[in-house]
Amino acid sequence: MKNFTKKIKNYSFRSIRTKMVLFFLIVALFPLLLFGLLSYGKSSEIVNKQFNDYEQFAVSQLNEQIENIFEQMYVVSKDINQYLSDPTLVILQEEIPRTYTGFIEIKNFERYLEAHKTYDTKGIYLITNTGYYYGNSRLDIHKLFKKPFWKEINSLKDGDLWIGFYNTDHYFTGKKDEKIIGLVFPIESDFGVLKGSKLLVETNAEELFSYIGFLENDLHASITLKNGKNQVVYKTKNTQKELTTDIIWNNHFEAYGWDIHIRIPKEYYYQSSTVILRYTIAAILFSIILVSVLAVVFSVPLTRGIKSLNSSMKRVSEGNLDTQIPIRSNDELGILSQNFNVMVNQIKELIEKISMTERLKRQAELKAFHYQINPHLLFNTLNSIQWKARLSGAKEVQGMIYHLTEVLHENLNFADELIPLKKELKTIQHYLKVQEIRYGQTFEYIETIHPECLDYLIPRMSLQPLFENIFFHAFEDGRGRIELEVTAQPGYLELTLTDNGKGMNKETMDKLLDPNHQGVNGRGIGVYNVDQRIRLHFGNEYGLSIESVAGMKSSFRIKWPKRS
Amino acid sequence: MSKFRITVLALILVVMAACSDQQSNSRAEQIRKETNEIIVLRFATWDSGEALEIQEAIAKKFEEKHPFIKVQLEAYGDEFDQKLAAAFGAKNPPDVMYMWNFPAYFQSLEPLENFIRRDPAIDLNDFYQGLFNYSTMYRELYGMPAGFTTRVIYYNKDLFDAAGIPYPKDGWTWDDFRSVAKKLTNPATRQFGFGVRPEPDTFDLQGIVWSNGSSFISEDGKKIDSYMNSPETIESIKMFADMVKEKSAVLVGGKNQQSGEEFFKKGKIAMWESGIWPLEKFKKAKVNFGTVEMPAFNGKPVRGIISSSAISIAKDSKNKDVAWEFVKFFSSPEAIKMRTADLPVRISMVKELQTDQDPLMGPFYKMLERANATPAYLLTKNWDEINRNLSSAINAIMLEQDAEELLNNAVIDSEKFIGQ
Repeated sequence: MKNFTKKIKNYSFRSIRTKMVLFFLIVALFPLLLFGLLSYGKSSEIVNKQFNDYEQFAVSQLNEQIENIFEQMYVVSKDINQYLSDPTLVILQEEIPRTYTGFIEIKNFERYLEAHKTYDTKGIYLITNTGYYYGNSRLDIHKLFKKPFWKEINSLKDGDLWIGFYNTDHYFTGKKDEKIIGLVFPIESDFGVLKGSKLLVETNAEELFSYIGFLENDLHASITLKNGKNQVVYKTKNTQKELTTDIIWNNHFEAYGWDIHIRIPKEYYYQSSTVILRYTIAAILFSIILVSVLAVVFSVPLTRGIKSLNSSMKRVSEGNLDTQIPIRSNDELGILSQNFNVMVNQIKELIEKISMTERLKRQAELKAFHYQINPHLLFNTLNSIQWKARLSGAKEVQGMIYHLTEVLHENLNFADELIPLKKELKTIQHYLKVQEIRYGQTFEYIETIHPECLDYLIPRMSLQPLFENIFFHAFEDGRGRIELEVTAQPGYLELTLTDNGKGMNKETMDKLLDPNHQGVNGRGIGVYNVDQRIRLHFGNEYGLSIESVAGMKSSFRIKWPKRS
Repeated sequence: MSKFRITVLALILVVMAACSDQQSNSRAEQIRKETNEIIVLRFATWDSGEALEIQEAIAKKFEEKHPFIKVQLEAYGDEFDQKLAAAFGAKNPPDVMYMWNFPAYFQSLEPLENFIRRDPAIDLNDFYQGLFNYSTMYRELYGMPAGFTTRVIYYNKDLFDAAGIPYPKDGWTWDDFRSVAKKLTNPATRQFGFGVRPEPDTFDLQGIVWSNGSSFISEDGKKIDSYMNSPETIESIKMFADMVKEKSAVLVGGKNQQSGEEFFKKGKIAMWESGIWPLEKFKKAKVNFGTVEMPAFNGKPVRGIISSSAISIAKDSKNKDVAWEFVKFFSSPEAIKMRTADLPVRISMVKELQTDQDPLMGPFYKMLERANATPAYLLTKNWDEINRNLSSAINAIMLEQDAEELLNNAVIDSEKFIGQ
């Protein structure tokens, strides 16, 4: 576990992408959470208040409706009872009319009953002790008497009343399943027909029940209605479990003894705020997803650039110098890539140069190796020849071999690559002696050397090839003048070797310094070699240059730094 | 956007005008153009059960033809009068309603004259002309005939066969009726020849009184003495009480009594006098029955009474043009064809469907031809008050009390309501 978190810390949190995602998330989440929670708090407060007011109102409407219906029926029954208890107003001489006046009386009374009907009244009937009734002839009294509630009616005392729900299946015509609310009121009269009679007022309860249905369906309310005897007359089907957190309204109708009990589960009561909360959370979740996607979308090109830079660097470090990064953008990453490309190119050039130098050095070494074939044998032989010449008195031969040995000695010495200039000049003296013996006093040598230059270092055997070139190519039978001048310039030395021989044309001069024309015949290799060795030792800004005027003169000029 | 909508609307109107008759290019369509929203049309009816279902179907068909109208059917049932009165009182009546009691309501109804004049497509001559009497008040037409029925005698063929009596034929007399009834009575099995309502609607009795050459009120509506209590009136009402007295008829359909239709269905009465209403019920109950014209009084022509229903527009309706469209559709051949619980009100429909050739339906149309008198309630505005006395008298007569004295009393008590 520890390892894992560590890994995550090490790995994920280091990646720019993760950092960006986190950054985006934090930037998006803070205001979102803040505003979301704030707006949730505020709006749920308002909505809850409104919704709760609305629920209060809806519930109070039910109370109101029920009370209104009761009130209405009660007033009607009271009024009719009042009327019936005044013997001067109503004359019902015969219970079942048989005579003209009887019919007229009852018709008038029935008109009186009908006049109490309002829009929702289903029926108003006066039912006598024997089961005859007044009111429209829709009522099937036998079916009414069979209804369970009618048993209670018979035990009603004066002043009591019964209110309850039942269906319209006691009517001859019309729908049988309409719900109605009925009120039975015993008539307080002891006169003949009216003794023990009961007034039945019926009101359409469909609207009431549709309202109850609305409360049940829309507000998830459980409604219980109890009548005066504490009997449940209506109870919502499939009620939810009663919880102590439920929001409860109770109302008691004092006049009728009814109780109304409405219960709404808390979750529904605060449903609207739950909805807002849900939406807020959904919005936050959505934002998180959006932010993540955006972060990935934005960070992928960036990190891809960095990644490709990284992998390119790795390749370069593994030695692949042809690596180039495609440049995709003009931003900092693009510039970085561009600079990287330039850098890789420079490294590549540098390495090529170094390897070339190394190769040339090796070649020179090989060549030198070639010359080194047993120099001792050569020197011993030359020494014995010199001795023989001395013994036989051939002074000239002896001198020639001596100078030759000195020259060769220098030539074949590989101990120090750089030697002081004076030492090189000494070797040249020997060389010139050899030439003098060979050609006789035919040439003139003038040496103009600044004394301070004598101790500066110069590659071994830098001058002899040039002299050789003069004797072999510029002079005819060794005739001519050679001038050597070495001057100290600020920071470097300049050596000029001038002859007054045939001179060279441009082509020849180029050939002398061109590595591709170092022919097998050996000509020119020396000059090129000199140039190369100076460059190898001191760098390309130094080296050898040739100037010549054909038929007049040619001069070699060497520039090299002051080293000691 | 609104320009686009107007263009589309204009196009629709042009197309409609091009390919439809005048009906759809009517004022109602113009209203549609003006409001461009659903119009709710309230339609109140007293029907219930099957008849109500038919009306729902007609309303639906109408909605299909006029998608911008929603018909809201309000079935008041038995509380029709009570609810309609309340609605008119509250100035919030249904736009369209069934109507029969024109004297009570005509002041709240819209005269149809203007609509008819504007709508030449509606052919008033195709309607049975007698029906217009019932929805005309002071020469103004307030309702389009929607349905009607005359009254006939239903007879139970099985009971006739069992007694070996030939089925009654048109042109029979009340004497024939009474002798047949007597023969069909068997007190031992509690079977009677006829059922008498103890508290009949005086309206229904008028056909019989007319057939005896009398009526309840003079034709000018100014006199009831020697009409309501004339010997012919007395005779025609007393006749039923006499039948009950001699036990060839039984009282049915009073308070806490089974209705005559129940008696007839069970074969407890052999003959029953009624309109078209119970016909389907009898068929459904598989009663083997026939119908026949009302009997005649000796040497006098039979005359019939029509119970008609019309369809009217409330004066306070806010959508009278749409309401008229509905009224027109309700009395169109298409709707009439759907209304199988009523008799067709259009002559062309009767001919097309050959309703009058149906042996059970034929007598209704024969009675229609005999219906040319105006019922009392259309002749005086105080008929309700007069009728209370008259029906009290008739109720008492049915309970075998002296008919002449009772009707004289009723006339005396009602004189104060006449000529006011």
